[in-house]
Amino acid sequence: MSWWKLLGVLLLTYVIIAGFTVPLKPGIALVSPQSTASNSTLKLSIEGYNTHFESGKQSLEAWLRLDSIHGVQASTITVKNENLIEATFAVGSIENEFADATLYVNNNIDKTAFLPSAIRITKNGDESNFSKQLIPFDRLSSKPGFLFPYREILNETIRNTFFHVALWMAMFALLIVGLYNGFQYLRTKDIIYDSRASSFNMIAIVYGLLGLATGSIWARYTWGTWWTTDIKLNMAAISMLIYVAYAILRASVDDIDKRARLSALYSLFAFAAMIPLLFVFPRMANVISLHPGNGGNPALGGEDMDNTLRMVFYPAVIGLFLFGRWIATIRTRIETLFYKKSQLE
Amino acid sequence: MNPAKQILHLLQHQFKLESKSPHVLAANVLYVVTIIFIIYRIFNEISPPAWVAVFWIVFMFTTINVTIHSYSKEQGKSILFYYSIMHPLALYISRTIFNFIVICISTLVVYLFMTIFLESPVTEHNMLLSTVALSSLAVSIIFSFTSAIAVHTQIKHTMMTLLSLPLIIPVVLIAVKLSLVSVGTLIDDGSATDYNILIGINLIMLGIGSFLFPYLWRS
Repeated sequence: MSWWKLLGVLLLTYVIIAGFTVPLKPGIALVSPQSTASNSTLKLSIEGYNTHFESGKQSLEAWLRLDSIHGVQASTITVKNENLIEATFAVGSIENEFADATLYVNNNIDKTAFLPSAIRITKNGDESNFSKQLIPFDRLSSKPGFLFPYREILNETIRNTFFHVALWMAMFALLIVGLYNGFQYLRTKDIIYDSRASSFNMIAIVYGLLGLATGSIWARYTWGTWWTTDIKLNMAAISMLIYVAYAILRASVDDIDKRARLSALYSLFAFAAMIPLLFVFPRMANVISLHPGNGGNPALGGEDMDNTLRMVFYPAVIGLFLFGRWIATIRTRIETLFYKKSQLE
Repeated sequence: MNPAKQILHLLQHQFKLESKSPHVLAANVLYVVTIIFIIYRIFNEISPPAWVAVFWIVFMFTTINVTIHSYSKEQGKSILFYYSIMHPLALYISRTIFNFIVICISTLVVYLFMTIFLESPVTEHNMLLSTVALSSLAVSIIFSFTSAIAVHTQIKHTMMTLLSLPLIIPVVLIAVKLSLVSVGTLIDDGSATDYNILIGINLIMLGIGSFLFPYLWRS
């Protein structure tokens, strides 16, 4: 047994166990109301996720941040249960027409849970009552330990990073190995390279389809739809069409050498045609897209990744690649056997 | 013979072949006219964005039709002779130039009939013309390669469509965007980038096509 097969399986096992069992950090799921006017008393009902409001009651505090460093503290907090509190804020005047206030809820057990742009405060009348305080940022900190970050909208689906994104990256790595082998076939005319190229490309197609499927499920839970007109989704789908055409081309030619030559040529030519689809269109600055990574890499949209996610994400990419390589080597062996059989006949 | 002479010679040969069978040209014109007439009967009056969409769809299918015709003729023994004495690159380039000319002519025919039946909403003719020229070039570069692959399979025509259509999607997407600017539906922001991408696609596909074609030809 080769070491990389074992490593691939171990990494995938780790990814599945850690990816599904590591809990999320405490977060704020919902606040209501979501808008208010300045110079008023605001009674805010705050719904937490994975929080311990009841247990951490003694040290509970809530802040609304109005600008970069100033905010107002909740005057009274009523704890309903572990995940529900009601906080009363005396909101003073604001400088601009409106302010999107970020909400922080802090206690000893959960540390800080926050919700960016939780509530929109619009300007209302008298502008003399600036009752702002400095927010004690030294007291606010993220809960330590191996926990995945909480993001509103994404919620628990953040775990799909390890499958959806990792599948695409592993698919690319497999495609490049497939292309390399295709090119080697054209140079050497050794049929083993064709078996390898087709095996790597086929498993990459499977990964691509799985990537589309996991992305579609993700879109259903975050954007509310299985499929959108989003450029990145559609370009990915077209690329899959190209590779399905490759599979059909292979199936339609009987002669082994001819099939090897034609499919290697088509895969190289098609990959060049895919460059604008995958690397130019999605990165254009004026493209409107819901998908993360606008104007940059769609897979590694910087701000959404943190170190705990990376500790599972990179093993997922490597594990999926090694697993795909394993499947491809088995398929290569089968292809080689078929080839030998056809030579004997 | 030097490469330029070879290309010229092959082009001459292809046009001679073409002139021997004028019914192919007539068939293609009839194909275009029928499609556009059906569209005219369906829409009667057509909005500019729909005009652009119809124009590029007709463009896609007409070009595929024209290119397959020009290739399936060359199955005789005479071409085998040419294949054995000519450089593969000369073959690819002459094929591309021939397809480019044929596609340009057929696109002109499409435009002509679409103007006759469905009034043309184009306000910036230069823009449409340059878009058509650049995308015809890209399409002929791609089709020359894929049709050379497709003729080796058992289901030539289906395979040609199957292999080519996904590859020309980026070209058509940009062409549609530029055409929408040329009919005044879309505001002109970043047309220069689109032209650059179109030229970039042309260069990449021509480069990879010329690099790979000798491997295809050596069988």
